[in-house]
Amino acid sequence: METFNYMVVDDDRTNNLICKLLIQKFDADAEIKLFLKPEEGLDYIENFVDKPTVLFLDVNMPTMSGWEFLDQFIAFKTEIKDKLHIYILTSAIQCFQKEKETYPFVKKILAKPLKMAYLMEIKNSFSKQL
Amino acid sequence: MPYHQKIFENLPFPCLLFEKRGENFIIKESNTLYCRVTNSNEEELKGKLIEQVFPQNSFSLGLNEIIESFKIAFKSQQPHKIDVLRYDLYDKENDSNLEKYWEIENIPLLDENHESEYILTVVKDISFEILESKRCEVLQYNLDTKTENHEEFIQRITDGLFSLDLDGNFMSLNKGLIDITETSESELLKMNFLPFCGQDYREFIVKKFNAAIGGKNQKFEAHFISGKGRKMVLEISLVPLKHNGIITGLYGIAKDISKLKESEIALSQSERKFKALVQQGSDLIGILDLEGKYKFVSETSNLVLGIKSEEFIGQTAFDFIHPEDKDRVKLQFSELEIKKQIEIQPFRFKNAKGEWRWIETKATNLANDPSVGGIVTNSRDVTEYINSQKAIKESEERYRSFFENSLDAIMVTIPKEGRILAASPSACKMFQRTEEELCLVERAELINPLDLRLAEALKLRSETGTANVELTFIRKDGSKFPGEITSSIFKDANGDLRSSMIIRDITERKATENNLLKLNKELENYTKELFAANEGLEQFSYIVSHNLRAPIANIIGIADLLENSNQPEEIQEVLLNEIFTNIGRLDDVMQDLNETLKLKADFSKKRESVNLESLIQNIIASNQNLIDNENVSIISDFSSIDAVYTVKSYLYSAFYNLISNSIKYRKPEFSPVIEIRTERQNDQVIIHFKDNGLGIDLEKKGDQIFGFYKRFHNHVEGKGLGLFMVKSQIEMLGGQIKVNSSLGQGTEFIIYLQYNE
Repeated sequence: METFNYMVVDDDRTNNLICKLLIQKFDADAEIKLFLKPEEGLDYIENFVDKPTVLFLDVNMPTMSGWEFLDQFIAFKTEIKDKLHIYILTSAIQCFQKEKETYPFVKKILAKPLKMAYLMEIKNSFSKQL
Repeated sequence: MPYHQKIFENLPFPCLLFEKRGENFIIKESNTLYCRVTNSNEEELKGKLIEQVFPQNSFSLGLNEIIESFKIAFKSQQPHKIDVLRYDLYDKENDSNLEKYWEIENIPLLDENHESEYILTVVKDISFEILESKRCEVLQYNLDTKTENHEEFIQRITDGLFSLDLDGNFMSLNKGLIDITETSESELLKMNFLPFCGQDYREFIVKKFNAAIGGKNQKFEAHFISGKGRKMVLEISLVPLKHNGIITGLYGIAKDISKLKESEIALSQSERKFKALVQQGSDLIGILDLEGKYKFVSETSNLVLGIKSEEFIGQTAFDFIHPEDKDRVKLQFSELEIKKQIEIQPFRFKNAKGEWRWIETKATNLANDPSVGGIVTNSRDVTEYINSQKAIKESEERYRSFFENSLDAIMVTIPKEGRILAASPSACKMFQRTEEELCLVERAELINPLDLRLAEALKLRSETGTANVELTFIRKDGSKFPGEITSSIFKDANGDLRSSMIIRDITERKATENNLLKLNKELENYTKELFAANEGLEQFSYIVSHNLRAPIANIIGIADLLENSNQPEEIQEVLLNEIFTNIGRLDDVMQDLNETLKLKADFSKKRESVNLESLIQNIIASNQNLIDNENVSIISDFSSIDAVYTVKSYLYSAFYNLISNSIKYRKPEFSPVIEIRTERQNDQVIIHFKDNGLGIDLEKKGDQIFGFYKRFHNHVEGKGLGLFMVKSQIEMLGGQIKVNSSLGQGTEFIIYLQYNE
């Protein structure tokens, strides 16, 4: 079975810690990258991602919002973009209808905190896709 | 007797036979007839010369002529004739000479040798013919002279004479007709009379023409048109022209009676006019006796008074006059005994309906004029005039009352120069001057001449005739008041341009207006607050989703981890710590919310004059450690405005937050420098707050910079509350805050506050 890596981009340390511990518990072999600054996350994607990766992206960050992050991501090469499976992970309780239309490649918008059920669902959709 | 002698003897003409002897011709023989005609006998004549036989008498001029004729005939051997020769014969009975004329022919008779031998003279008495022809000549002469005279008469007469054929073509005409028809003779002779007939008279004229051709003389008047288009009235006479008892045409006479007709018409018109004047004019003409009894009244009485003229006859005029006017009229009427003419001022006269009409009368005493024999009155109904005069007076009174009692100031001025001609009592009161004073002052003493609105108003008034504006007026004591002026241009009774000015003191209205403006402004503030409240709600939803939900979501996540998995002890400790951190975050948010709510609650806080320099010094003193550690320099310049009337705690908080931000977001390699200065612009105080820090990319973040919980930097701790609080507080003070900045270029905040003395 094809394996995949995980990335978390969020300025909230606690959330990143929760994600790391939960993913480790779900898949002990998975590679998990945590980024507090979205700029660094983008840099990593552009230069280092070489295998399918699930990205949990926060929306509300001081220097760059999740949407701004996606605006830059769109400009990347297709083979890089194809590797990323992006999920918005936010504490917001809005529905983000407009953003869903603007960024159709976003797989789903998930409400914090990250849960086992989300990870299961992601893994299932992943295998189906393959 | 040879037979030729017999022939000679019996020739039916008087004959003589001459024989030439030497140079002379002597009578050889004479025939019977000759002797009878000349009362002579053969013997007397034989052998004699012609001059011997016919001696010179009263009228015998032709003897030489006869001898010459003999010679010519003898020599030429051809007969020679003398057509007429006068030789009067003596009449013994009457002892007078008879006038006789003779035709003489001398015929040469030739011998065998063709030589002339004798002359045969044949004489013919042509006295009758000659005398007759002479008489005829005289007759002819007399006839010619008479004809000439007639023709001249015909040509000179101004009436047109003409003849027409049966078709109506001109056959002959005189100069008079040429003048009347204004057409040349040659032209006329080619024409028919029809073209000269007046449009509506043609049929009538043709009828007359036909009647004349029928043999009846005609005389009529009709309208004709000359060759040059002149209209005229002609009197035409037509007489049939007969030849051998048959009518071959017409003689005609045309007389131009246009002038006569015109003067007839003019006369009848003037007659009518005069008649109209007396009978139909609006003037009433009457003849009264000295007692005032009517002898005659013109028909106009029916029109003017509704009373028929005959009804007046015998009545006394005074009985129709209003009792109040009667004595006055009577008195004046009696003056006619000494005066020729009087004018009676309008008095009331009863008409058929019993209404009083105002009548004005001129009376002339013509009692001594036998054709009149009374007082002639010429009266006119002047009721309308009297009524309109009354109406004018009433309207004048009405306007006078309006002028006297109006609360608004009313003035009449001369346009352009602005001199006052009349001022109402209220105008005097308004400007604290008497009417005389107002009429003497210059416009500049009542209105500031440099007021731009005045020039505009004058321009508008000269263009449209009227203007309505608000101006500031000046009283005598120099105090000013706002007034609304309505001014219009009009023409007075003499046609001179005048302007009316109606001024209303609008001091109170202005005050009300100002209050209203104030209320409006307050309403605007309330509206702003409402908007702010709405914005607050939106921000609350944002706060809920991020700042409240985020720590809660974290706590849930950690709790879940702790519960469902056996974490190593050190991880468990980390997770517990995280729970406390997130609970702390929740608490912070609660406190911040409380802070902002407190801000709104403090809105009604008292304002005071806040000295800016001491405010800055307070902030520095309270944060001395931070300032020292970060090596911050604060340069202030409050020279233009050193104090603001405001809520001190808000201004303190705003300044503190801005200074704190400048320090937090400094450039690492430079010591923070903060410049604060004030300036005054109209009714605003502007506070510039400039640092040399990191700056913000306003293109990206401009709309969020003052937002609640908005943060733009990672490297330092910040809740994103500072600028939100600053903006809220400045707005609470009725001000505004703006920002100028770009990345790496420092940041400048500009605060606008209302300036209050």
